[in-house]
Amino acid sequence: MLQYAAQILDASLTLNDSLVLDQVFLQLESGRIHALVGAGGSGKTLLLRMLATLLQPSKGELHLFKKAINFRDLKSLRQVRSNIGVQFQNLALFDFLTVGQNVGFPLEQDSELTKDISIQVKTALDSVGLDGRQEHAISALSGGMQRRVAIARAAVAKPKLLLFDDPSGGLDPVTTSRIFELIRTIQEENDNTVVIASHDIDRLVKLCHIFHVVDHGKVIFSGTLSEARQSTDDRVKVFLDV
Amino acid sequence: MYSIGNQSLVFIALTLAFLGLILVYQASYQALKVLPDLTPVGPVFIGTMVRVFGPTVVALMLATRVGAGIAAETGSMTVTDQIEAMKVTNADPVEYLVVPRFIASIIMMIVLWVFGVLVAVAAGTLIGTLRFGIQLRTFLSLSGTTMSDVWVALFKCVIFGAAIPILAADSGFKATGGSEGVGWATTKAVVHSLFTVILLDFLISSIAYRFGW
Amino acid sequence: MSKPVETDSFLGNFGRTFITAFQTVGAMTLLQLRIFRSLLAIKNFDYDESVTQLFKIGVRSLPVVIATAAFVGALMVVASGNFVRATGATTLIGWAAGTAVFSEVGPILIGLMFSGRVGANNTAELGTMVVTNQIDALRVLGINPIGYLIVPRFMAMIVMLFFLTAIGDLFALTGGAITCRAVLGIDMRIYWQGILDSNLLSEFIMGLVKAIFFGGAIAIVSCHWGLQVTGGARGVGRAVNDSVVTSAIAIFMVNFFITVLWT
Repeated sequence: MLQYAAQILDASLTLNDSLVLDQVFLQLESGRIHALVGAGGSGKTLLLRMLATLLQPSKGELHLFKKAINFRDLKSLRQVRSNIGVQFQNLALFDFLTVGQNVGFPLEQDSELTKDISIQVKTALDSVGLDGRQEHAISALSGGMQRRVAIARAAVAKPKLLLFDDPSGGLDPVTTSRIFELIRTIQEENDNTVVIASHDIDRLVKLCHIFHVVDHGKVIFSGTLSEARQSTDDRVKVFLDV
Repeated sequence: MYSIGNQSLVFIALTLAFLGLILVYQASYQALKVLPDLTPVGPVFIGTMVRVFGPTVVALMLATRVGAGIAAETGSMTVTDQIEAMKVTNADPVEYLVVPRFIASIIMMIVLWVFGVLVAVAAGTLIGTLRFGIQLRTFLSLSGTTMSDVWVALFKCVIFGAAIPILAADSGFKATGGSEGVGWATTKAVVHSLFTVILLDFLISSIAYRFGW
Repeated sequence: MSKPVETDSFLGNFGRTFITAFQTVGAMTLLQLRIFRSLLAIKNFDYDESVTQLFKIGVRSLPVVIATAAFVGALMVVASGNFVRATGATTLIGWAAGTAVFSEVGPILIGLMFSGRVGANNTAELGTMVVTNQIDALRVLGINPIGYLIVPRFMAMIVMLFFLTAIGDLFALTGGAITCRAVLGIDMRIYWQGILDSNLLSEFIMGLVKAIFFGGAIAIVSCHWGLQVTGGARGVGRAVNDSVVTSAIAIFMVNFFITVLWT
């Protein structure tokens, strides 16, 4: 039996009177690395935000960890959110906190994780190759380093669902490879469900198990690469380059 | 709290000094036209400064300085997804960002009111004694100030100090789009808090007048 | 060997504030000169843009100016109410409220509101144009940004603040009249008569002269900070903040000097 970490069921979303997500079905098998591909503006970021419980579907349902999400029930929302880690497209690092405080931030909010925060932060920064920079200001880091801090912050609490929005945007090929390698290591260590939205098809193909193609606010394909090769939809073949 | 107070100090000193100068200048000038006696100028000026102009103008300046600052800060955090990042890690942005500023703003409002009134009275005394030749002892008299003036002013300070960060953070959190959105949010925060201060001031003053405070 | 400068000391802070203040004033004077130069060479000045700005500014700020003015007038009546109650001189209320509104409180508060609504917005708009390199794009096209963007705003702000203050004064007096009846319980006729008897024409005109200078000051300050913006969204927010703060200081200073020179 397939286990799903997250399911978006027949969800639509209207923002400022325009339909931005249109009857989406998206099911994320547990413990896999999922790729979210599609043209810019197709709705990838919105889907990630919905999975992060930051956007409520106007119609349809969001299920996380086998429970339907009730956006009004703040208590259970808190519980769900403590199992989600997000790396935002623009990183969203807190510029009034140091590198170490940024990475430690999710731990401080969770009463079960407040023990030995500094050690956990050190380990997390170590794993992204930034140990010893705890005290630095965010603005003192390069773009690639900031990206790694954001990834460390997303993963530090070992969430069951880990979402990456464009983890390699605007980075050089060497740094990009390192970041994708990093995501692979994190996933293998914790066996969490990972979603990556990216345009970097070549690297996604090497890393991901399951591919979801988004076009004009709809998920038009979900499956493995070999299934994509048999797809009759040209858009799927174009986006996945198969 | 330090940043709310410190950055406003020079600003409040400058504006309140000029306010003190102009009020005494106008009062003396008008008094000379109507009654040639300048003895009430000092006491009336100090009383009005404590009760009316002190809280109002300090609050207007705090709204401009601190309100805009809070809106700019929370606004740029909103458009760069830092607020969303807080929500998803279960940190309450209101508790984390607004509450400390709320408390600081109330305390600073009271401190700056005292400071502003002192600066304005000092500046007013200068022009009153030097330009209009009023005796220092006649001018610096508290006979025009009552305890109820102080209480009403303190009450105003608390209310204004509470309203400004709430309005500012609200427009900051509602910012959308990039840098233009932050600019809009800051503008909105200033206008809303300036207007709210004047509106609340009117309401509090009217009620205080009705009850004879 | 000299000791290292203690940059965080109180004096250090104070000195830095002073230097920045002088730099700002210098830069704003330069901007002022460039505006006048563009105004003299009329071909550099965009007529259509000026008309657009006039309407934008007027429509944008009229409601908030009217509302503010009404409450300011009301506030002045309540404030003088305490003295009227103490002395029993009800006829003085029109004179007191009228003088305060026309000569000082009216122009200052309408000016502050205008700076919050229009000046701040102007800084945000220009700042965004700077951040997104639109100003550079104009230069590349051979268009002088001062003549094209700044001069029309400068003119429009002066004209609009003048009219807004005139309109605002009337609403302030009306607000005062209503409050006079509703809160103080004094007949409105006594209040209006007091205003008419006091012959406040000189005060009224002085207030309008102030509005002209406030409008110019707000325009220069807000354009200056808008063109200064660096560093994305945060920079725009900070520039708006600096803009409203500098405008407030300018308003209070200019106000004092005009009153002293006028009387």
